[in-house]
Order: sequence, then structure tokens, then C-alpha cells
Amino acid sequence: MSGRRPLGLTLVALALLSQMPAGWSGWLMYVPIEACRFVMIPGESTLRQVSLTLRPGTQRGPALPPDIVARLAELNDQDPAAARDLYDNFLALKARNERLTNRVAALEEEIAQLSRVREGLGDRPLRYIRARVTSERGGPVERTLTLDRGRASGVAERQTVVAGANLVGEVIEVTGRTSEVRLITAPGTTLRARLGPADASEPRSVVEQFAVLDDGSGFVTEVAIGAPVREGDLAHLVDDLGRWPTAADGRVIGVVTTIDDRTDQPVQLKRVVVTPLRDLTRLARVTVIAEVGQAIDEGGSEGGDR
Amino acid sequence: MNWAVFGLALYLALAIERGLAGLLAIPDSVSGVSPSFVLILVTWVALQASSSTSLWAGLIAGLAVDLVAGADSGGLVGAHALGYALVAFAVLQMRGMVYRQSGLTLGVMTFLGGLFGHLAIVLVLSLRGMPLLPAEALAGWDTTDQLARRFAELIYTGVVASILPLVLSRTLVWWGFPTKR
Repeated sequence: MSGRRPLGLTLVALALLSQMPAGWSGWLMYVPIEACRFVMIPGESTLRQVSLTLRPGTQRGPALPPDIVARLAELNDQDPAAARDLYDNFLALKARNERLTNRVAALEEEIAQLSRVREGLGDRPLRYIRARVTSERGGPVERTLTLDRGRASGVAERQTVVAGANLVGEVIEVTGRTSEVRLITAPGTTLRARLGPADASEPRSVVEQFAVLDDGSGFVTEVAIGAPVREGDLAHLVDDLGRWPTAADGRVIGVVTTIDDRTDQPVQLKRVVVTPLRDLTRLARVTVIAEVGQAIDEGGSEGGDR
Repeated sequence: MNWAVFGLALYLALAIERGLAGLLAIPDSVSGVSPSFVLILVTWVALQASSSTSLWAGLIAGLAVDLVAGADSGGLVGAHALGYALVAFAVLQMRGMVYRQSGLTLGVMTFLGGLFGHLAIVLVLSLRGMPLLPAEALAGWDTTDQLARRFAELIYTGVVASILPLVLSRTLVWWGFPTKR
């Protein structure tokens, strides 16, 4: 066996194979993989049995319960393939159990977050005040909207403003008939958000700290290269520290539009860009979420548009 | 080189590496750090055989590792083949500087060659999921963890490899390695 050309071609072929989706290479190499597995079973399972006997419960991968070990050893004498199937079945169940455990943990976290929101709101009902955006100010220092609703309509400082499902910002200043809203994309804003699939079909989520992009068009963060984040995932605000109005916690801040390697460490990190569902600087109408009690306390009047 | 002997040795190395992994694993180590006998075999061949034979042996051994692990990894093939070919290449570059009959040589060369090989493997697997490449990222893949675990495995493998020449030197006549180098 010699020659650099065949060796080079083989290396190129292997390099391509190594970067194929697992499904494709698994399909292409199905026969060799199964053949190797078949050939390896006698030697490997014999030695594994020796290993199990001498040092039970310390196999590579998940440790096996003693009854499974005994059953495997018994089966291995009669039918190594059946023993292998039993082991595979155990691993599949173990993996399913792990996925479900992760899902339960994610749901518990979500419940805890919703509970915090409920505790924060107490029994006070929410009022939804529709407001028109009369002007928008954007710049390197601040990004704000001016609304045509103010104290007279029940708007108060530190109320949440949304547009559809998307969090827009919080009310920072109120006059009798107008109010000022600081956008979530205002310069210098940092926030934590949970990234996960929009339909909650998969048990995956990751919480990251986001910074606003320089042009204010969205948010950016860097996550580990293997982090379970995909384009199309929704980003929900996580506000453990109470920096945002209570009703803002858990609201959508945007959708993952870009995942790329523009980081200092492209092998370890990937850059995730989240863009609001709607352009926050071109909104015509928004909704102010007012807690009824809060509006009375802070505004002193219960006027409004309902 | 006698390829039949190499094939038999590769089979034994794979069977021992996978079958006895639990027995040889360092207790309480993360993910069960155990030695790689295939890596030792590739280094041994690269120390003794001709250049092209060594490279092919590394590639074949790595491909065997990929294929045997393929059923567990969902069909990922190629990373170990490339990595072990690089191990053979690295050892070929360094073998002129060492005394090949020494027991320690195999251990040191296994460690050094393995460093290059494992870096290549981690690089190849880390590339998956990068933009413009069709391969999806590996679930739960953490480059730092992988490097740490593989480094621990290399140290363990190097220590084991330092002992093995006592056995391997007695099998030299079967291998048919070139006597004039």
C-alpha cells in the first residue's frame, strides 16, 4: 500500500465525510458500521463481561444496575446479540429519561418565573391601555417613544409597554396627556433572556445575557458553540433582579435571526443576534400594561380610555 | 509490514480498548478516562514501519475506531481517521530524533503524537455546526471538556505505552518491519 495521491484523496474524502450531517454519513457508512459492529461483538463483549465481573458498575457510559448486569452476563453466554440489544435498549431509555428530566427542569424554571410574575402582580388586575406613538427619538444616547396617553389615561412610570407579543420598553416619564417610553433597545441596555423554540416542542432552552447592538436593531450575545440555540428561537426576558416592570418578565424581546462565528473564539463560541418581532422605531400603536392599583397610587386619578 | 498481523493487532487493540474500558478507567474520573490501545498501536507502527505504510496504518486504525463507534455516535465517520493519520505523520517527523528501542520512547511518542491527533479530532468535531457547513453541531459538545478529558487520556495512554514495549518487542519478528532504516 503506497502512493501519496490515493492517500491524499482518501484524506480529502474522510474530511468531507466528517463534515456531513450524521444522518447522511450514517446512511452512507451503514454497511461498514454494521459489519464492524458485528465483527467486534465477540471480542468486545467477552472482554466487557470480564470487565463487568472484575469491576461491576464502572463501564464507560451510564452505569448499569446490578440486575441488568446479571441479566446481561447470563444473556451474553447464550446470545451476545440479544445482550447487545438489551444494553442498547437500556441506553435508549436512559437517554429518554435524561431528556424528560431536562424538560421537567425547564418547565419548573418556567413555572418559577411565572410564579414570580404572579407574586409581583399580586391580585391586582391588569389594564391594557392602547396608545398612539406620536414621535420617536433615536440616537447614540437614548431611544424613546412618545405616546399620546398620560396620567389622565392611567399611565404611570415603570409600566410595561408592548406591541403585539413583543416587549417594547418601559414608561420612564409621564405628563397629564403624554408619556415617554424607553425602548428595550436603548443604548447601554443589558438584559437576560431565555432562548427556546417558539412552539416548546423540544426540551431545550438557554439563558444568556444580551447587549444591544450598536445600531439598536436588536440584541447580541455569545454562547458556547454547542449551546442548543437555533435560528427562529424566541427570546423571553428573564428578570430575576426586578430591574424591569413586573409585567415585562417573561415577555418576548425578539427572535433569533442570526447565528454566526464572528467572535474572538470562533471554535468555542458562536454569536447569536436577536431581532425584535417588529421594528420598535416604526411603531404606530402600542399597548401600555397598567396595574390598576399602581395607576391609582402613582397617578392619583383613575381616568382612562376604557 | 505484514498487514494480517496489523489487522489482528488492530482487532485486539479495539476489543481491549472498548471491552476493558470500564475495568481500566480511572475511578471517579470524568466520563471514565481510560487508555487508548489503538493510539499506542498506531504510534508503534509509525515508529517501526515505512512512511507510507505508517500513514495508511494510522488512517485505517482511525477509520476502524470511527466505524466501531459509529453505531453509538449516530454515524459520525472521519474525525478519528484524520486524527490518527496525523498521529502517524507526527511520529514520522519525530522518530529520527529518538532511540526507538527504548521502552520510554513509545510512551513519549504516543503522548506527543496523540496531542496532535486529538487536537485534530477536536478541531474536526468542533467544526460541525459552524456556519456554511452542512453538519449539525454535536449535542452536548463542549470543546474545553473534550480537550481536558482527551489530555487526561493521553497521559494515561502514555504511561501504559511505556510498559507495552516489553511485550511488543517480542512480536517484532511477526510484523515484517523493514530492518534497514
